[in-house]
Amino acid sequence: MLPRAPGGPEFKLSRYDDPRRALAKWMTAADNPYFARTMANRMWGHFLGRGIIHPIDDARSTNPPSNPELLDALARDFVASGYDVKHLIRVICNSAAYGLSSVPVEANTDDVQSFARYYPRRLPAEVLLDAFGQVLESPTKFRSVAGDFPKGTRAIDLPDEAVPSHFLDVFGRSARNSACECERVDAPALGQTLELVSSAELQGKLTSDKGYVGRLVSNKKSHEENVRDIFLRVFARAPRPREMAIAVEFLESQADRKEAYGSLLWSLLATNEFLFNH
Amino acid sequence: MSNINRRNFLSLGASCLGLSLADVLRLRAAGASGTSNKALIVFWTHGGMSQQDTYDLKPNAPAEFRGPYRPIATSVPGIRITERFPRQARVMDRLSIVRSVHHQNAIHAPSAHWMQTGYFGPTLARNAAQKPSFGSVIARSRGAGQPHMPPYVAIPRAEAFGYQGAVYLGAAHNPFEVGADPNANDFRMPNLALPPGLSVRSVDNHARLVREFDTLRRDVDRTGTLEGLNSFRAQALDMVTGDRVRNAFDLSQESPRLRDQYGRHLYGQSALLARRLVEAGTTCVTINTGYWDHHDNIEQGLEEHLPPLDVAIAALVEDLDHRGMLNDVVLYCAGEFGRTPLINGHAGRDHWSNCFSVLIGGGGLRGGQVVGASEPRGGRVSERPVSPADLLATLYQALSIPLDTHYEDASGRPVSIVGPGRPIHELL
Repeated sequence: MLPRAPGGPEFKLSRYDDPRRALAKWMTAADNPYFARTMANRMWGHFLGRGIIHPIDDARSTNPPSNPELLDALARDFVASGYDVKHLIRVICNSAAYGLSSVPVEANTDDVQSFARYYPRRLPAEVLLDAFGQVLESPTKFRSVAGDFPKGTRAIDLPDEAVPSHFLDVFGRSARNSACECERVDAPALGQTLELVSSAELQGKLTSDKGYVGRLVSNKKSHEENVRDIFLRVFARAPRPREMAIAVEFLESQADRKEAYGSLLWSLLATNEFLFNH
Repeated sequence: MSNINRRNFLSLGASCLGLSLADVLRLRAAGASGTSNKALIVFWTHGGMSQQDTYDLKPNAPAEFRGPYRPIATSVPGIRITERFPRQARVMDRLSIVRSVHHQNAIHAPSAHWMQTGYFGPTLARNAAQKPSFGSVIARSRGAGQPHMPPYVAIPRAEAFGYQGAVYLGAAHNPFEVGADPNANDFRMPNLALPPGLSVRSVDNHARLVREFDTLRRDVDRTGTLEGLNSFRAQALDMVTGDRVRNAFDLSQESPRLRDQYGRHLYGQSALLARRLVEAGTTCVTINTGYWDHHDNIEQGLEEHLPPLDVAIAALVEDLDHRGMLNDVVLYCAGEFGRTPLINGHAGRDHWSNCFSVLIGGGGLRGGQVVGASEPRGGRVSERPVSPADLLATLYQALSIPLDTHYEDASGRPVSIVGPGRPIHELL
């Protein structure tokens, strides 16, 4: 029996040919109707939190795209670019749809599938852990049975799910037991919020002398200057006057400068504004 | 009465995420208006307990089948159990034995999945859980009796095969693991303990600041994720800094006399903790103690486990009865399978799923019953076969969970919580 692609041609291979080459060639052939659409849909889903076909791995005639013209246009453009993934990403990220605010207005408050506004989503487990490390300048140390990972290894760099991490488990990293996209769960759970409150890992980053908190403690800058820096770093925006006032008042009320900055950062990192893409 | 059946489940709509939270909140609201407040406490005999040395003795069989123990009479005429269960013998009128449980697998992991989910699924080669455990189904469909309590707790932690989890019901319905031995002198809940250097005052500060800075509008998210995280955040802060959950886990509030009655061991103190938790609003507690896989020298292994298990179960029955809670709490003692009727060459017993026993009682179920029977030397069911799904159906029925409940799996297919299982009518 000759190997064949699903719904595709039989591959005539000599005994030394690698069948994966033939499969890859078939998948990316210009007349293959599936690949470019699937790739465009996956990238769209990655950036907008929802596929044009949704779920992104459930393409069938009874689950049509919410906007077929959009999907076709993205797919055509992707083929025309020579399957340039960076080009595809650039197109999506420069689109008006990607730039929309998540704050609903009357006309789009009920929309859940037409991308009339941005749909917020919680940062995926690995991204969230890396974000804590990046903001606090205190990277996570990962260990596996084979030994320590190199310093600076990020959660998104981990080779597989066998690297132990309670944080990644409770925030729903994929167990990679099946090929289903649905394995990654971002449903809220009590374990997650407990982790944000009492995790030794996060507290360790917040109390490290080396990281960002340590720098805030030892720099001679005013609270105002530091709060502005913190907000830019955590939320990518300046503090509003009310937020500035609350933060400075809190910092001044605390006797210990390190605990004060640690507490402030801890609280900002636990807000939905930080935990969500929005 | 608020039920999730297939029809209204499907009508609720698309997003699995939103659903699970909405369900929890809705059912909590329903629970407050008084549907059922029944709870379940499970003694899970991980590894497989020998039926023939505990609840189904064969004193007239040849010595190589009979095993080391003699039967003793119980408070129910005609029901005899092992001489290592003298305390349970006294409360047998409030407990029932099912002697005809069987399924068709004799390997630990697939069997543990079958008994705890009602479905055969994983194999040794592909051992990932495929269906939610009964504890997770209970957590999902009933929620907690009190909103601040975790609905499903594992003491000291979930079983090692990984089949006590929620799978496609979502991480919120995984067991909350205690993570420590309740019999330890300095027992406290590690998951509720603050890391070194963190004080309750700083957590209070944290809670206040989060409220001040949390300005992202709630109506931006229509999936329920954001609202869910908000409500779990409040619950986490309450658990860590408040007294109510801490108190539920605080065994030192029990009198030393009662703690002695339960037995100063992992079994006894776990049972006592389980009673405190269901009193405070937890709906399902699973006690995972010991490994019962006695292939070699079974007598030595059982001598270690049977007496503390006996004391824990009997003390729990007496205590619940004394408090007027016995009709509200279902007790269940089971494992993935039983053990071979014939003693092997190493004085042990091997895996046996063709016929084994479980213990079930309380929660309004009839006590003092023996359901089903095994052949004279054990081995096979001779009367009234009972499947793993039948056992789950019995538990769900006792907990007022509609048996036509379906939950969508990862592919969106509605899956029954009991499959073809039917409740054991003799116990209802």
